[in-house]
Parts: sequence; C-alpha cells; structure tokens
Amino acid sequence: MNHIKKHLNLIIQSIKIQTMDKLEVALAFTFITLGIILQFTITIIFFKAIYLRSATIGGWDVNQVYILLGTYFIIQYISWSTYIRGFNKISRFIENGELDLYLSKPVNLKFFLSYRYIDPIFIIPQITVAIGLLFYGVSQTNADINILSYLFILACAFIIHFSLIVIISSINFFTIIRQVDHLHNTIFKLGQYPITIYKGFTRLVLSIIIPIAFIYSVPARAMVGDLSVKEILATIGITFIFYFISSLIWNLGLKRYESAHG
Amino acid sequence: MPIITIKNLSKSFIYHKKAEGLRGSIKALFKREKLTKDAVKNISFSINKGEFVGFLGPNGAGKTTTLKMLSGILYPTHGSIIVGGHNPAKRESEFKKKISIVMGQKAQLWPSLPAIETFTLIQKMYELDENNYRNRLNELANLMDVEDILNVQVRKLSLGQRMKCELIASLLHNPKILFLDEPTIGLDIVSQKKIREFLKEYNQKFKTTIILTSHYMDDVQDLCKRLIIINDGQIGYDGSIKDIIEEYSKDKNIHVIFRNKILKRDLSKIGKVYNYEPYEAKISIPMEEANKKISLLINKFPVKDINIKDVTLEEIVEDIFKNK
Amino acid sequence: MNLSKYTTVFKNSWQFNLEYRLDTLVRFLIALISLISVFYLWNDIFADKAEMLGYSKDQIVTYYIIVGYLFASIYAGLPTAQEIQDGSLSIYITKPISFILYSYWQSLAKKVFRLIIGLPIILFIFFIYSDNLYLVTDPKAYLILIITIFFAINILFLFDILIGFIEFWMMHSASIVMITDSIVAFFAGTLIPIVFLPNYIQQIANYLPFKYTGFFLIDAFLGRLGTEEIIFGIGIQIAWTLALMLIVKIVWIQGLKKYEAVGA
Repeated sequence: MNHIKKHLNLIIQSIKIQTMDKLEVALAFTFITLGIILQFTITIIFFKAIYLRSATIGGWDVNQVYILLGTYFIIQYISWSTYIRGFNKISRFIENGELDLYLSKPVNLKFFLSYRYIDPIFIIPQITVAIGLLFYGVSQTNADINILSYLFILACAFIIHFSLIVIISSINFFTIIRQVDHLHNTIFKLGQYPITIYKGFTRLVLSIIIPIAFIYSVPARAMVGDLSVKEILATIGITFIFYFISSLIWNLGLKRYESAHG
Repeated sequence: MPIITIKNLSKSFIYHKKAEGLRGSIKALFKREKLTKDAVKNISFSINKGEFVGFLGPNGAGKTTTLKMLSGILYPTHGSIIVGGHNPAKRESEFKKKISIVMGQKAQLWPSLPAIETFTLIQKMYELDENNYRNRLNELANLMDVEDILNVQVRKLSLGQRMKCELIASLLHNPKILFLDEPTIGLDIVSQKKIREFLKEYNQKFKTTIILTSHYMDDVQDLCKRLIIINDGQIGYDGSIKDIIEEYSKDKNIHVIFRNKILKRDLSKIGKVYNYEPYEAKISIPMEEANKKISLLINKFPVKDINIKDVTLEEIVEDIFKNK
Repeated sequence: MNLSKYTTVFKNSWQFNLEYRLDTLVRFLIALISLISVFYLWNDIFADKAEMLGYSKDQIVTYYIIVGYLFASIYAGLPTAQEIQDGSLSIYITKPISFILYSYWQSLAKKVFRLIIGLPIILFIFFIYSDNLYLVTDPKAYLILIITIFFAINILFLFDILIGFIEFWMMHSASIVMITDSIVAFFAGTLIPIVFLPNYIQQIANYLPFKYTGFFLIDAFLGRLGTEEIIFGIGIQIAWTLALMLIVKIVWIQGLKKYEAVGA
C-alpha cells in the first residue's frame, strides 16, 4: 500500500511541478495557442469564402472539405506537439554538438526525438477545435460514416507523415538547412485541398513521391466510406514503403554523420 | 575641476515576487507582490580628468547600475550626476559624443560583417572627419596589432580579437570618458594581458578618463591607481590602491593547519583569527610582531603545516565586503 | 539631419542580406510551392465560370503571383527590434543615432534586397506561364506599383516595430508576432482577395491599414481601379503612415521609460 502511495505522490508532485512550470510561461503559451486557433479560424473563413462562390472544390462539397480540414489539423497539431518538435531540433543539436551526447545514450534516436519534447497541455485546446471541426463535417454530411475505417487509415497517415518528417530531417546529416519547419509546413499545406484539384504530373508526385494524398485526402474519404479495397491496400502499401525508405535514409544519414564526426 | 561628479546618487528598482508553490503560481497570474530593491544607496564621489578608476564589487553590488547611470542608460531615482559637464539622463547628442561604453557581453560590431564596415558606420554616426578618422583608425589598429584582421568577418575572429575590435570601435570618436564593464570577461590570459597593456598605454597617451568594472583583480591592480569598492549599493572604499594595500600590509596572513582540534579562543591570543575551522585557521598578525608570534604558534600548538604570505588585494576587498 | 549614417546602415544591412541570400531564396521557394495549390485551386473554381467578382481567371493567377512576390519580400518574417529582447538596446541609447531610424534603414535594405532578388524569379514565371497570366502593359501601372510598394514597406515597418516594442512590457513577445503576422497577412488579402470575404470581414478590413499593403497595390496594378480611386488609396496609405508614426513615437517614449526602470 505504501508502495502505491509513494508512486502516487511522485506523480502528483511531478504534475504539480509541470503545471507550475507551465503557468510560469502561461501567458506566452496562451498567445501561442491563440495564434494557432487564429490560423485555424482564418483557414475556415478562407474555405467558407470559396464555397460562397463555388458549390464544390475538386468535386468535394463543403462538409467533405471540413472532414478533410479536421483531419489536416488533427495531424498537424498532434505532430507539432510530439515528433516535429524533436526533429526540428536536429540542426541545432548538430551545430552545438548535443547530438553526439544523445547518440551515446541507450535510446533509439528517432524514438527519443519523438517523445522527448511532448507538449501534454497546450495540445488540448488545439485538438479540441480540430476534432470539433471534424465532427461538424461528419454531422452535416449525408454520407454513411465509417469511423473504424477512418481511424485505421488515419493511423497509416500518421506513419506516412512521420516518415516524411524523418526523410526531410535526414537532410541535416548531409547539409544543414535552416527554416526547415517553414518548408515542410508549406509542403504539407498542399494537402489542405482535395487531392482532386491537382492534375497530371503534379497529382502523381503528390500521390506517390510526396504522398500528401494518402495523408489527408484518403483518410477523409475513408470517413465517408468512399474507399475501394484497392485504395485501402494501396494505403497500406505506401505506409510500409515510406516507413522503410525513411528508415533507410535516416540510417544512411546517421552513418555518414557518425563517420564524419568520429 | 572634476570631469565626473556624483552627489547622493540612489537608484531603486521595483520587482515582482512570486509566492511559493502551486498556489503561488496561480496567484501570480493575477497579483504579484511588489518589492523595491535599492541597488545604489546614496553614493557620492568625483573623478578627475585622466584618472583610471577601478570599480570593484560583488555581483549585484550596484557597479553596473552606477555605470549605466553615468552613461545615461538608466535614470537615477535620487541625486545628481554631472559627466563632462552634462547630465547623462538628458542624453544630449553632445554628451553622447564625449563618452563611450563597452559592455563585455554586448557587442556593437555586426557579426557577419568585417569590423571595418562597422567602423565606417561609427565614423558616419559621430560625423568624424575622413582624415582624422583614418589616422586614428590606423593608430589604434597598430596599437592593438589587428591591422590584418579588420577585413575578416567578426564572427570568424577569436574572442580576444573580437574584444580588441570592440575596443577600437568604442574609441574611434576619441571619447573623453570611457566606461568599461567587464571588458576582459571570458578571455584567455594572453588576450587579457594584451588588452590591459593597451588600456594602460591608451590612458597614458590620450589622457582619457577611464572607469573600469571588473571581477578580475589583475585588471584593477594593473591598471587603476584609484579603487572604488561598492558593496550592496554603498561605497566601501574610495582611495588609491597603494594606500589600501599598504594599510592592510601592515599585517601578515598566516594559514595554519593543525594536527589536533584547536579552540578559536586559544588562537586569538596569537592574532586576529579571520577564518576558522577546528583543524585549520587563518590568522592575521601585525608585521612587527610576526616573528615572535609565529614562534609562539609553533611552540604552543600542534602545527602540521604553516603558510605565511602577504595579504593580497583580493583578500583585502573580500574583507571590506564582509565588513560592510 | 545627417543622412550618411543611415545610408551606411543600409549598406551594411545590404551586405548582411547578401551573406544570407540563401534565406531569401528559401523564402521565394516557399512562396512558389504555395503557388502550386493556388494555381490548381482557382483553375478548379473557374472551371464553370469566366469571371468572379470582376476577376478573370488569369487576373486571379496574376494576383496571387504578385501576392507571393510581395509576401516573400516586404513582409518581415522575423520580429523587429531584437535588440530590446537581448538588451543590446542599451548600446544604441548611448550613441548619437536614432534607434527607430536605424531599424528602419536595416529593414528597408532587407526588403529592397529581396524585391530585387525576387524580380528575375517573378519575370521568369511570367515568361513561362504568360498564357495563363494577365499581362499588364500600361507602364503607368508599374510606376504606381513602385510608389504603392514604397508606402506599403513603410506601413509594414511601423507596424512591425510597434509590435516589437511589446517586448518592453512582456517577454516572449515572439508569440504575439505569430498572431499579428497571421492577421496582417489575412487582412492584406494574401490568402484571398478582400472582396471575396464575407461582408462583415470586409468592413473590418477597411478599418485596418493592411488592405493597403497588399490588396490595394495589386488591384491598382491590375487596372481594376480608376485614377481617383488610386489617388485616394495612396492618400490612405500616407494617412496610415503618419498615424503609425505618431503611435510609434509615443509607445517608444513610454517603452524606454519601462526599459530603464527594470535595469535593462
């Protein structure tokens, strides 16, 4: 009984300290959250303005687009609060030598970067609005909802998203890029729109080479039960392929980095 | 006629205090306790033209605050300051041209440009005549031995080289008064020495009034004839370094280690005990009695090791800090 | 007033930007990537129409290309007045130079540099996609664009430094910059031409200066405005510049008082 009490106390103490710490910078984080909600709101206004003049975008009606946007923001907010924070720090770690320190620890670096900088608190308001938007689109649409399918495809989407982040971050092992986060934000933002607006070669690139389609549009279609078996299999395939490729590139990059640093 | 006069100068800051714990953090969002810190308490002194004065004091003593008031960065809460005939708080253009301040950690050189480019900016800022500027630049660069690095990007220079260029930048407009806040901080010993040599030469050659704050005793001892010690916002000593060393040198410091535990009151029969632990002590003995007292010490006490030295400036200052 | 010290600031800042030209190129790369979705989106919307709110498809595409050009050049991207945050402001206070003017000429050099670097990129795009773009042939339009860009730069600088002054009262003002950047970009019409927005939002936009740092410039350039409207618009730009100058001056004086009160 004392054993449990002791661990409970540790947890409570930890939460206390964490909360104190967060309240200390409460103001700053409030503004950051406000900023994020603001960008969310502006995106909604933008799409509403489009739908004032056009019945569809790429053949998708407004509710389908809300589902798409809800998915987009869920992925963005969760990734921003977890693995993206860690991977964005790679260039800084390389410059100041901290990376060598982490490499010497008995934790897989990818895993470490994914959990080390988790933000447990301020993700809550963000996820709330994102899921809110998703539910709104779901409630307004006439189509048949398939949540299970959605969740499964969403999980695949996260893995693909994560793999892309790993690939982009691996570039740092070869040459340092600043403004990395602006760059990948901009690329992923292409997925805010139904993939159907892109045609030809661009559509191909965004499906196979930088599979934005499978991260955003495909889960959104899964929600309304619009996916064929072929497409589900394709999603699973892309997930495996990209995870594999990202591991390859990451390990290659690490090896090169380690050999250059001795 | 002194070039700097401070009368009854005081500076207080208001800061906020947060109560302890989680409750305190929540409370702090709405209301915080307002406290006043008296950083400088009613100090007065004057400095003559050409003097090289050292400000010494522990962290938070008020020396940087005083320097900032002298240069016009901060306004006093009470008291008056006259620097070069001006009230620094007014920040007149004429005043700015007469002074220069170098703060160890804050650089004015643009890091990604060669120093010479920032120098050009300074020339334009202070409206320096081209010929005078060129001559002066060459002279200073020569004195510091940095002619060949002026065209190298500042961020590629070593810390020592950077500091030298910062000093040149601060002296291009031939200020009458130079304020230096920890100028050798973080530098290697060789660079520190070079900069000290430069400052000494510069002060002698151009008769510029220089006020220097530093942690490093060597800076002050080497360069300054006059020492002002500030502790807790007040002046602990204001006088020549020679005098203070002489006064304290009337005593010798003895560092003793004993084989057995010794009582402090027994030791105080030998001399003034200013550092005590059961097995170890530091005693101060007047110079004339030194020999007699030391033999007494060795004979009457189980001395394991004994070390006799002259008191250092460091110890003097420490002592003054403690007494205030 | 001695101008040469400020032209030297301009020169030095120019050199700095030259050194970091990769940053500028990345900004334009980002703008170009955004243009991809813009292009396809509006192609899709215009599939069944010839014009919307008076814009033809190629006018809209041209609109966005200029938006991208402007966004990558005259919008700051970084908080201004970092010196307040790191305390080096103290050094500038003791020098015979105006910190605000010093910051202005630094900012000007950065924006002019970007405008010039971006020019060949923009011209290249116009060349390649000239079939899909609305080509402006009236030389007066280019002159007006340069004038309105100049005023836009000033308005944006004044606003940016005003936000930078928040640092006097609050740490972590960088988070506020995120918010204001979004608001500025939105109300400048960089996301979508202001006239497409719901009416109540357009009303808000009319009371803010940002419409005149983006939307107005491009509308004038595209020839959608009459001469009177253009002159009126430039008048509004000047009015906003003067109003912001006043506000900046007032806040600066108050801010300095606060800066010295906390011992910097």
